[in-house]
Amino acid sequence: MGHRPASTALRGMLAAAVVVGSGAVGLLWDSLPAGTPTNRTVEITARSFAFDPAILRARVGDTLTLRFASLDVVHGFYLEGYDVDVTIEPLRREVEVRHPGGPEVELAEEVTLTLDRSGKYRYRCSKTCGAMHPFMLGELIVEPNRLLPASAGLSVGLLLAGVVLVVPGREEARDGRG
Amino acid sequence: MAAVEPGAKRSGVDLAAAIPPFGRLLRRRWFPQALALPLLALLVLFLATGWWGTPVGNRNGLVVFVWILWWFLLIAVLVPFGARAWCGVCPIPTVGEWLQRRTLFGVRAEDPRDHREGPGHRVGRNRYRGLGRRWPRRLANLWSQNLAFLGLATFSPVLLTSPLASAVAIGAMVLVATAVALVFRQRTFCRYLCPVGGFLGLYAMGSTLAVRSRNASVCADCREKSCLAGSERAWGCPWLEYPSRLERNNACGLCFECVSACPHENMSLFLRAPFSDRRLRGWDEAFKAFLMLGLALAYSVVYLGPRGELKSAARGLATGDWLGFLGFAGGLWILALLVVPGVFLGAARAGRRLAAAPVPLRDLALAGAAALVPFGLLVWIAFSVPLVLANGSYVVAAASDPFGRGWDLFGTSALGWTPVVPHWTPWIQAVLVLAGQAAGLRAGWLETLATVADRRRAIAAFAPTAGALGATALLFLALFVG
Repeated sequence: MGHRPASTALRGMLAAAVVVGSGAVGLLWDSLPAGTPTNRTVEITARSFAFDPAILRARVGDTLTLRFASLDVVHGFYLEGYDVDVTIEPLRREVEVRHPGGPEVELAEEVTLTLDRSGKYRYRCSKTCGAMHPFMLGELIVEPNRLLPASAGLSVGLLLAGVVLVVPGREEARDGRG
Repeated sequence: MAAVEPGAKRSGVDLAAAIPPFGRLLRRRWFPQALALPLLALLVLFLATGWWGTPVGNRNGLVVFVWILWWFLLIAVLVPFGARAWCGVCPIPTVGEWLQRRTLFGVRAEDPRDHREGPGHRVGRNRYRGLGRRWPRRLANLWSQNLAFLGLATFSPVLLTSPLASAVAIGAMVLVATAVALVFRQRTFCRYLCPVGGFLGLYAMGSTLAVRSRNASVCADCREKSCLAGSERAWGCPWLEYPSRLERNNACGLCFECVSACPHENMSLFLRAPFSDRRLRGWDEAFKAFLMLGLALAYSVVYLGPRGELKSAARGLATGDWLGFLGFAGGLWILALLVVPGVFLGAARAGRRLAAAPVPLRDLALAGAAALVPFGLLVWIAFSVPLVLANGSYVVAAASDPFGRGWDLFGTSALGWTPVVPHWTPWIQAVLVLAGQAAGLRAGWLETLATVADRRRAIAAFAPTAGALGATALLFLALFVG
């Protein structure tokens, strides 16, 4: 773009530093001290093609006790990243719990999870339940979900880095290259 | 790749020269058309599974192979790394093309000075069957494809989940492609009507592969123009392009006829940096970029989001929830045709005012919309990643039992739903959105600079578009990882 090589290299480094720095600021943004971990019981109701609650928020360290009900047909509840797959039958409190990482299947009235990983995890229906079955999902957000502020910081950093890269320096402006 | 001056050699890696056996393959008459034949057989099989197979979408070969496997390979692999390579082997126009040529791999060539009349019509040095009409100039743009794709997208909740609806839609495309081939010249359907071809052309601009001339001066001195007019060795460009002057990937279907045709071996396939083509040439292309971005946004909310009521509304056409369907369809059209274009045209207008640039708004808007080519492609890949990670196992099961009739051809039909690292999805999506934003900022900036010429004015002119792109990236990040 017409810059001198040294100036271009310097700008490149500065732009990279801006992007990394913005991402780091994003990471810090959410590193507020966590509260005391809590235990909660959540009733998850499945119907074609939605879970209620559709979005479940918790903090890392919390313990969730999940109970299930289906309002229409057989549904599944597969939680990404937590190795839990539950089969929910209508009009039945007891559910079939499977851990995809292991062979055992157990019957239970509830599933207890200690949330040891932060981030966003989708829960999906794992039993074919109708036309929109592949898209039947909900979201478990375990705070601090660092990926969001970090990636948002990187996104803002890209804009700032763009400014660093394209705004002509004093010398360039004087040389008439601005 | 920028335009090449006469005498200048093209940048990028000339794959035919670097890998001579590959170069010889490119000049073979049967390549790549022969690959369309097994794909045509597969298409017939999948149409049959859609028509006669199980109505359960995620157990039906058509839905699973087309909407999960093919779609992902197309958007995430073929387009970024192979441009319109799919168009070169697509089975949909195969029957129509055969009806025009009446030969699978041969060429019908004639001396243009020979005035004897034969069956069909002559274009350049090649003779074709069919009426051979020219496509109306007024329709020689992407608007028909924009509308067709928006129409398909409106009915996507039914198409993606109903094997019968998919079979009807794809079967109709084969019929229309064949009928158009009988009336109009060569690949008119692919060029101006195929709903998929429109966005393939747009996003192929970012591909790392491109068919180009090796040396512009060789083309300038060429008398035969066989790439355009055909020869006894190859058909003239079926895509109605002048291959020696190709500077963008948009309308190149990677059929390699020009590579076979050129008597000077001056056409080749180049490996190049991603997102090398940037210039959009008209409102039809800009609206294709707006439309695709709007649809990616809407699909991410409806299909990947947790709101069941949106999914029910989207499928209202099949369940009789007409109000819900109208809401979905209306929202889709307003987002794709008004909101996204409004935001980016507004940004271009604000940039023009800020920069006090003596440049037509159209030029500035097209330069800004160039940012949406890499960004749109990468957010579409981001949208498609969870579909294949979560549901890819359906492909393995359906391979053994494509009709859902209890077969077990390869011993995989009993494979249960097995998502593959689905918890990596937000990380992969975040990387893709950010890469798209970075590539989009670069493309939009370079095009704006080329349009405005003055650097300071270009900065002011592009700033609002960069802001709009950043805001859109944040929106996608909120949807994917928030």
